[in-house]
Amino acid sequence: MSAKQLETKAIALRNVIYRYPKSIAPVLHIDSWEVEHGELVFIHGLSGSGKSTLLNLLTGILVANSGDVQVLEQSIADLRSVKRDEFRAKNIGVVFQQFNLFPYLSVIENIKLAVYFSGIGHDVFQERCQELFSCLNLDLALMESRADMLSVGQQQRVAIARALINRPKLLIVDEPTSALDNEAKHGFMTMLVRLAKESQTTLIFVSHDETLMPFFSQQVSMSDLNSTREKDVN
Amino acid sequence: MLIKLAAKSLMQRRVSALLTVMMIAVSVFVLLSVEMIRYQAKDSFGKTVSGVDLLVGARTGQLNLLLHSVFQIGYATNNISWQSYQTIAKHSKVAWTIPISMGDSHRGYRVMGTTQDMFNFFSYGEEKSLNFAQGDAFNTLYDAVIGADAARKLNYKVGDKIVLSHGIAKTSFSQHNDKPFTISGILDATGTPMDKNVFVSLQAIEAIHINWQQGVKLPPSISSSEDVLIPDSVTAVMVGLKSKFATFDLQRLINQFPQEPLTAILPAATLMTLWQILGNVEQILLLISILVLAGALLGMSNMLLVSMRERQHEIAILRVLGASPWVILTLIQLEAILLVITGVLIALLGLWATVHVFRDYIISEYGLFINGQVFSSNMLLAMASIFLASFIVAMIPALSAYRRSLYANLH
Repeated sequence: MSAKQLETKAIALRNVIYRYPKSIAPVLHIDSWEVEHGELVFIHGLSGSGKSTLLNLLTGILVANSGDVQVLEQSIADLRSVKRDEFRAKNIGVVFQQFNLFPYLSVIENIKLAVYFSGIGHDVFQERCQELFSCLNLDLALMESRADMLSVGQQQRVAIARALINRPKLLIVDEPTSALDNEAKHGFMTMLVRLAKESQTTLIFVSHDETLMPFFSQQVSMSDLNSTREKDVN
Repeated sequence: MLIKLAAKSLMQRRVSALLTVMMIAVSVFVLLSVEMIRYQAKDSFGKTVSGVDLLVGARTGQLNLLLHSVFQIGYATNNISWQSYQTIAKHSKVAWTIPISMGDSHRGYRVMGTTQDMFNFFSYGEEKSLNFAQGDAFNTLYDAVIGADAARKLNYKVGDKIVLSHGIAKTSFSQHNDKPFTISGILDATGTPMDKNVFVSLQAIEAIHINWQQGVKLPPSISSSEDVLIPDSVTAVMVGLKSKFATFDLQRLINQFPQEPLTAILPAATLMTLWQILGNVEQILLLISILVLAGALLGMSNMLLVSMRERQHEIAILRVLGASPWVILTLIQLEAILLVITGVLIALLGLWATVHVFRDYIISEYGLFINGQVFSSNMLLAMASIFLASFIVAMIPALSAYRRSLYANLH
């Protein structure tokens, strides 16, 4: 653990193995993977290919059984549990496939939750909120409405606003367009990529939808990345 | 922020949350009522009589004598003859005596025939004597003194005229309406059964029964004059001694009284005996109420635990936003505390209302004085125990949430 060398990458994985508790066969085995700062990465793969495990390792919710996971020049295994949560709150934004928001909280309360854990000030929060809402083409009047009163597209944009409110250096987006129609999808992607580029955020984008590939600078197939099938089955 | 989240999450599940709150409210209500009765009734019990060294009546059970002469519950089986009373009163070791004569009533309140000494020597609580709030003791034959509770309920003041009824039933058809009494004084509230008595002199009791036989009013034959107003007998006698050391000697003497069979008891000791009998019931009530509360808290735990399954996704959202598993645990504990606080508040409100509604009923039926003080030290202790218990029981769903949050998946 101590002989690790910190790398100047946004993401650097070396010999990472993860197996679920009480299970012998690893679900994820990555020899080596790197992502530069500010890169836009598209990850595609079938379900069960280890995508969500990879994302859980990157956010520090799960810790690898062996190997080194470095995120934003920080080795995840070096952080104690509470520090990992703090690191995630401050540096990583996440958007899920769907149901990102607490349906019974207002839009502003949903966003404030992210701020509660990262601890940015109220003025900064207000300012960034307005900025993000105009970038995401969201009406500020929606702020006080309950999250479940919004359309699916609006909810996804609020989720992005929440993921970006803390100015994370890494943004992880998991199948965000599956609930959107084609036209909305295109608009959503354009906006997301623009926001990521403007804020120089490294973007990890996971999707089945290979038509979205052209938006990205690095395309990764989980079946290439995860070598469990060749090595660890026996 | 977390409190708001917990509150809104509960509101989202308001039906099951409300049922849980009601379950807790009912069980806390039961527990706190039992606690209140335990302490206040015991307190009220012990305070009813003090400073009386011996209580003497016709041969009867200890408890019966105490109940009918002090608590005004039940009836005397027999009386003490006036001669026997005089013998006891003149005994060299006796400092004072208060004879009492029961059997009449006024609108449901028992009439106690007694002497001036009732107001001079009787004491209750920590050696407090009966004091007058208004007016004073009997000056003329048909004067009456009434207890604070009776005065308040019947809305009487000094100078009002009252008519006594024969017998102690709530409604009586034989009224002593030929001899109305005038209220000469109203006593301060004592918090003892004395508050619901109407006091008249022994002579007055004789006077109103002078033309009666076997409980039936006869036409007037002889006029009631003061010289024939020596009573034949009294119901009981409260005795104060010159020295406490003589108590057992005199008790033995009275119990072996040659002229007629008498019983002498030590009121304090008999009160203790009585409380011990009730004490077992009290312990069982407490045990039952604790079990009911445990059931309610386990129900709450179950409700939170079941909700965990559908909230797996919420936990995942909180985790990716940077909530540590401890935050998730805290959140569930907060929900439990909110449920219990609401339940306890409803229970306190219910208890307060119940005590105020049933206070008079409890006083008149059982001679127990409940002051409705919800925030006494034992009640606060009981409430602290409730919160501690709920914290412990809520650890079941809280730890489940903690464990789930460790592997909260991004999907």
